[in-house]
Parts: sequence; structure tokens; C-alpha cells
Amino acid sequence: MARTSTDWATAMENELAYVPDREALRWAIGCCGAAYVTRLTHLVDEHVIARALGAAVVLFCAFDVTLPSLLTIAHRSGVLRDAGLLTNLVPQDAVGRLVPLLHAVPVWLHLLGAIAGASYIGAAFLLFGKARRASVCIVAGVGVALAARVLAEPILAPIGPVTPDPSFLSAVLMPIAAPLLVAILVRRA
Amino acid sequence: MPRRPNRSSQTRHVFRILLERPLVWRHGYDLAKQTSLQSGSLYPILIRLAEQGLLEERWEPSETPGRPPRHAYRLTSSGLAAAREAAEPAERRSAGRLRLAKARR
Repeated sequence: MARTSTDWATAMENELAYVPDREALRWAIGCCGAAYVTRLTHLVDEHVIARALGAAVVLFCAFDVTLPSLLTIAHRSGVLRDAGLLTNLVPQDAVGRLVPLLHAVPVWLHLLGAIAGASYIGAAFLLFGKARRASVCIVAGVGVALAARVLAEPILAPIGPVTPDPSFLSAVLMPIAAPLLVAILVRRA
Repeated sequence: MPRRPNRSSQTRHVFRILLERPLVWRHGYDLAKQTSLQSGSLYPILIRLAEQGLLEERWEPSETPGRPPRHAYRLTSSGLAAAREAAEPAERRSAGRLRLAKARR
């Protein structure tokens, strides 16, 4: 948040003392969101290397969120029918669960993954192009990806987890925190 | 055509509220109540306006002992001009631009 970031953070924190208790939680959550969006908005003012690395991280998130759909398309089109290829992608013991998993994932879930992926790809381009709307795309991508995870849980749980199984935390932290972390590291370097 | 800054409906709403009493210092929560904006929407707008030099900020000590000082905001002179322009109804703005274009021809 530029040079007055501490001031604004303190301003939001202090204002909380004047917010009625019943509204305090919503106010605090909103302030966290405001701080994040403002930070990420300022990322576009960073050095080209920081923006490029941030965009790369966000692109990786796009790949991560669309990987199940890509695997399904590849499997259904026959590219991955050869078990040897699958074992290169996942550990041997998980192959047995991966194939039924590919069949169990409904189309609407793939669509959600595609929307999240498109949001991340859009965010990466906006970030690299110095557009301040990148943060909106990242937040939208995280929201859709989280919704997809929650909705997929009852469908996928009976089949069992397949490794590598990215944790809920990494699905949220990766797109949200990693671009900022990269920018901070580049600035310090 | 590039997007003009501070034209979102939320920013214009903040401008309208600040224009009602331009000399009075406002606090974040009061502005949120008056504009019906959540803190997550209001603060990025305030931060952006302050960075553009349209909003001035200051710390005010609390009137209640034991409570922290509050950040207060009001429009700067350039902020007043920007707010008046942004708060104008869209039809009047486009009519004004049309008149200006005709005068240039």
C-alpha cells in the first residue's frame, strides 16, 4: 500500500474500536480484503521482473485448477488410456483411484475449473500488463476454485483422495499470497 | 477509449456523500454507514482518492478515553472539483462534452 501502508492499516484497525460489536466481524473481514486488494493493486507498479514472476505464479495456479479437466479430456480422448503415461503423472497406488475419479467428475465441475482457470489467466495478463483489475480476477478465481472444491467434496470423497492432493490451504494461499511474496522478495533483492 | 478514473458508481457515491458537507472531517465507519458500502469496498476507494491527492487525511484523538485515535477524511480543493464533476448526472456530462466538441469544430 505505497508509503502510507502502515497508516492505512492502523486507520482500519483503530476504526474497528468504533464499530458496533454485531458488525465488527464483517468490518474486520472487509478490512482484510481491502488491505489485500490494495496491496495487489500496487503490485502492478512493481518492477517488470516482479510482475513477470507474479504472473507466472498466477499462471501456475491456472494450470493447477484446470489440471483435472485437462487430464479428463486427455483420458476420454484416449491419449492417457495407456496406464504407463498415467503412472508417470501420479504414483502407482493412486492410478487405480484416478481413472474412476476422471469418470466421476461432472461436466459442471469442469466448467467451474475452467472459469477459475480463465480468471487466473486473465489476472496473469492484466498483472503483467500493469492493469489494476488483476486483483479482482485473482479474487474471482480463488472464489470459484474454492466453490468448486467445496461442491466437489461429496462427489469425490467416496472414491478417495488421489496423490498429489493439493491441500485446501495451498489452493487459497498459492494464488493469493505467492504473487505478493514474489514482489516483496524481488523488491528486497 | 481509456477508462476515466473515479467513475465507478461506488466512487461517485462516496464523492456525493463527501460533497454534502465538504469541510467536515469524516470517519471510515460513518462514511460506510452513509454510503452503505462495506469496509472492503470503501477503504480501497479512500486509499486511491488519497493517493490521487483528492482526499486529505488526519488523525483525530478520541473523545472517549481509552479508545484509539481515528483517521478522518475530507476532500482537498482538487478533490472538490473532481467530486463535483463526478457527481454530475451522466446526461449532463455527456451534453457538456457534446457542447465542448461542437465548440472545438
